[in-house]
Amino acid sequence: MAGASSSGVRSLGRAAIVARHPSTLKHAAQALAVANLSSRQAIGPSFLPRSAPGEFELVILDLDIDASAPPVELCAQVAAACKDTPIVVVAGLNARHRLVQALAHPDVVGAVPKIGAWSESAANEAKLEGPDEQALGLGLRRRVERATQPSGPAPYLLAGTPIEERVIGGSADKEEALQALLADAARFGLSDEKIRRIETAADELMLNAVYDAPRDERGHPLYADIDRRTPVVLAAQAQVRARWGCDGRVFVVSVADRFGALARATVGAHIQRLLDARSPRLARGGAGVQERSGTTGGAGLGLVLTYSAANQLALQVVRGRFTEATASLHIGGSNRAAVARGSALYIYD
Amino acid sequence: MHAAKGTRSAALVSRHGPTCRRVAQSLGAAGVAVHTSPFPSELPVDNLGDVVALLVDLDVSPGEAPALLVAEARRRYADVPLMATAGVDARARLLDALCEADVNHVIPKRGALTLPRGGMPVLGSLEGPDEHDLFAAVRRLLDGPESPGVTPYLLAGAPVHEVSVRSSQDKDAALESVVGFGDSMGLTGEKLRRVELAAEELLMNALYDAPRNADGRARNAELDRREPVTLGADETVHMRYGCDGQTLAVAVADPFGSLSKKAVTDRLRKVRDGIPKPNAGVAGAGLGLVMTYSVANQLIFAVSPGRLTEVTAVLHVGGSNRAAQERGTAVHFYVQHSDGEGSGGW
Repeated sequence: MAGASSSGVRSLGRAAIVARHPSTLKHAAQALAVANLSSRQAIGPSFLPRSAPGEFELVILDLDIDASAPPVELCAQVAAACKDTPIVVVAGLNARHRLVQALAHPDVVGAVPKIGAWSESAANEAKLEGPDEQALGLGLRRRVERATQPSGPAPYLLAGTPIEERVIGGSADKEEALQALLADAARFGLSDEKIRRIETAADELMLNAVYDAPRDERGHPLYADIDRRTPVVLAAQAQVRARWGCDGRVFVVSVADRFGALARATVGAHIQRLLDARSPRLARGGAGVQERSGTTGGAGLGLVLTYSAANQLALQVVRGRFTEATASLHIGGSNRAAVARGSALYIYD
Repeated sequence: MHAAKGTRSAALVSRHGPTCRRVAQSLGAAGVAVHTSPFPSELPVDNLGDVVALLVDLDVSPGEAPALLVAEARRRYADVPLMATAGVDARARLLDALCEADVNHVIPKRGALTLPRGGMPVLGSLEGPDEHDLFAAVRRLLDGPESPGVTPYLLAGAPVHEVSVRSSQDKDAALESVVGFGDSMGLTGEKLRRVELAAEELLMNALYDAPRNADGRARNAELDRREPVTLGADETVHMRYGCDGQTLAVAVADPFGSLSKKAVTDRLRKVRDGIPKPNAGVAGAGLGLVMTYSVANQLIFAVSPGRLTEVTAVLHVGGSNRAAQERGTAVHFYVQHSDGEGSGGW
């Protein structure tokens, strides 16, 4: 008698997908299956069934269903039908712009470009592929699994990939960890451009964790307003955990702080600075992905730079316990091809 | 060229830029430093530390027989696992290397199978070998367990399903579960057919070709495949499968350890020399393996003689089926010698 078992699979949940683009439907179906989610398709938000919170684990919304409608409006239509349900948006038409715009909606927890849509704007859906099945599948699986511990880089890498780890107790440790990471990357014979992307992502994530994340007992930022060249030493309970690994195709770096202060709205607000006609550099008033309280006015430059450098940026937050930011960068093939894959964003909160 | 004592190294013979880069990236990620030479005759013979693999790009001399190229490299490193990659006439030359030389790992370059057969490609149109394929192969050479199933070929954490099989009837149920899984992944048409074909052939091999009598003779190999068989309680076959959205892998392990590299290469020669016409239900033609080779993107054989055989088929299911087929098929052969230390071990 055949006996079947499986590991790592939660019970089957449901997701809704609002799309008409055949390739997107096909790729999304594979991705949903990876997350063990069954799907219900609707050809537009108005065709979604009215559902109670929790009825659907999430909704995948293809913004290309109406390329002339403002993304936030499309998200609002989805939210009206599926109240308090996380939305993952995908787009191929004017992808970068519309995905970032969609982040203004409070229910959006993921923004995923279709393959090949990032640097060349397609004129119509027919020429587009769907989103990367593997990356989307992983993104959805992480949302369904709802891990309560920092996941680190492992989920983005082939099983068995060695993971390096450093505990960062201050700015000096941060520098040492960054150099160790870059030395690792150099061993792989990567081009200068690839190394630069890795360095940008790793440096910004570590800077954020050391300077922006630490809070006092009242929840106020401790070092957010000081110059990044000023050395800081973190208390034992505030130490940062940096991990990285590479499987030959993808380089992944994860940095976790112990504060869990990042809010979804803050992420959306920071990333939307990409749409500002001015460079985000002009607005620099302190880097960081952490939620700012009061009027410290952080520009979120670190988040923007990391998002721009990475092919996937995942932000996992357990409020008051930890925030882990994971940047995954494609290093297989040319740097140009990697950049053309675009940047996906996932928020697990 | 010197390496620190204890450093794991690999020697690469290639002068194809993308191949050199990909090998350096993948092996570097696996903790192995790569030393590159443009010709086998220029390979450094010492001071590379612990050499864990020798990789020969057959394109360094497309007019030369793969066995000769490999033999020249082999003279420099006697007991190191040998890998070959190729882009020019890749399928035939890699099978030559696998069948006629002591190469245990062959990996086509990306884009190789879109080239006209026998035609000289513009080398600039070729990419290097697949990074994940190389990485997984080297990781397994370094410290892989003898029966890891599908895990090394999928993203960490991808759910893995397992089915036990002891009879033809179980095989049908197991096959149904794999096909149902593929279906649930949204696979249709040719992609689903490739999954079904690979899984069925691996199961058939485990039920009919692998079982041995006490005297080591094949027990079911001559039976018609339509004739039901049942294995003993201690002869259970385990099938594992999983998918991470882009890669679907199926592994079938039997407790006989009866597969030899010769048996595999005898069958793969049929690919090189032209596939014979099948006779319905007749065993032993090796057609199943040939068909599995033609649908899989990686075919991995792990054998611990007399104890275990695990055959894993890795199929690319992301993007179009045509693109997946054009990736070609890598073959890896791992033999665990009884002392656990033999050359070309895991």
